[in-house]
Amino acid sequence: MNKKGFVFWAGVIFIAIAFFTFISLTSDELKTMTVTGEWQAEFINSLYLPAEEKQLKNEIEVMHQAHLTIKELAQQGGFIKASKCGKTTVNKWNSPKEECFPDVNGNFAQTIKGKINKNYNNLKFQDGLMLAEGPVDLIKNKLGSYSYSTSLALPMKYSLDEYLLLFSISRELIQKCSVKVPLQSCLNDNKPAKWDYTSCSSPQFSSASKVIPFCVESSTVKGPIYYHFALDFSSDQPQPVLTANLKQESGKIIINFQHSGNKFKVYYTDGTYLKNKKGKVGEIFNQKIDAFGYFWDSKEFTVPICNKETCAVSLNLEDGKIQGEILVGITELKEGKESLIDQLLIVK
Amino acid sequence: MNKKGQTASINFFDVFLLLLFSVIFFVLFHFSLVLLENNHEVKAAENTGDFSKIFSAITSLRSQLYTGKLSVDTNLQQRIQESELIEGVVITSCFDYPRKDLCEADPLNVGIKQIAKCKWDRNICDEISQEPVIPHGPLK
Repeated sequence: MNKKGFVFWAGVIFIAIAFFTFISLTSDELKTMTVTGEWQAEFINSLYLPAEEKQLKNEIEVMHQAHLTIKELAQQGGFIKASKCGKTTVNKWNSPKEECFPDVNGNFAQTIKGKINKNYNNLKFQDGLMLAEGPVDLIKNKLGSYSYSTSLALPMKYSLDEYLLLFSISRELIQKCSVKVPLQSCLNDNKPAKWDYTSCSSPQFSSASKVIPFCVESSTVKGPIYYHFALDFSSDQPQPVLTANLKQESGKIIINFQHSGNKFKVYYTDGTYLKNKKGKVGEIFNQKIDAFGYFWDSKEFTVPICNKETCAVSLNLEDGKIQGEILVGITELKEGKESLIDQLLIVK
Repeated sequence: MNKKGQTASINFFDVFLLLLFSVIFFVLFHFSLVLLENNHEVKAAENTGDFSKIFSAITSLRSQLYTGKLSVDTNLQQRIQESELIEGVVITSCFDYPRKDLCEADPLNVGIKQIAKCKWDRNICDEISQEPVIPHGPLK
């Protein structure tokens, strides 16, 4: 080999050695060179996204069970056991002596806890959301571990506060319609349009009893719900007789009136100056009438002839003590108490 | 030109060849590195794409749940896997179609898979159930 050939090939060999030396020195680094963000991507794909999926599954399950629980509670008037006020076909929210409104928040939490696996605390409804505090879950693999909160804020578009509105309307209805007859017309005038008697699909009013079952429709984001409950419009206080009409027939006065009681007292007098009086019996029919030289008397009637809510009593005036115009007032007697006199009617 | 100058001119040719080989080596090396880097970038983008697709699918399913349109029997894994990208949008259900023509054409058959039909209504692609409606009392 001449000198020229030696220099050329020595140069080529030198560059090749330099190149492969560089490659061999950096090969370890090239081998371990990873894709940018590969660990992060793997972490997200193997831990974060499965956690999100698990949480979504959880939310689906809880939302489904919450809707079912809301529906079941509404069906039972908010109770999980029978109401202490009793039950007809549905739970009663009151009796003549007391109110028996259910503890819906407690009943809801108790029922749903039995249906879902996770242990949620502070279950509540707020601004259409169902809020629940859940435990912290952990997902682990070779890359590490990822912990996430299982607490929920589900938009149910519903609140258990709907019961408070129903309770408030119920109180008003009981207050207004326990003392008024006929009951149906009082309820028709005062109940909200969405309240149906007995059933939401085929409303039906039964006048046979003072305990009236209601159905009220509402909804959650997952569909309609129907509240079923009964209100008791009977009262333990004697109720005044509000409307009556009188007619005189051969020495007898026939009084027709509407009431659901079964013991009444009829007061009558010729002291027509009392015609606009109403209130306590003792304040109207007392010794003053005698002092003014008028006559007054009363008669008790037990179980008058009643047809539905219309009753009739017959007052015999054969004794001839009263002549001319007379005033007649009726009260109900119940458990030793007497109702007020609501009106005095004139018979000519 | 003297002898020294002649030797130098011969060496210049050798050096030129050496430089040429060097350049070829380094160009090859450079391109192999660039190729490696590009592959890594593509892989990184694919990783991000997978994450975006799955995350968008989960978000879409969650919004369906929040509007009461996701059944408890839904197979989440299947719905997520069947999600596809159309015009830069991940389509998991009818609600994801961004335009009326796509909504009504339903190229991914997401509506049919849910026994429903995609229908454009008030600027939203809605899912209309085709299952028979079971009456549950009068709605007021």
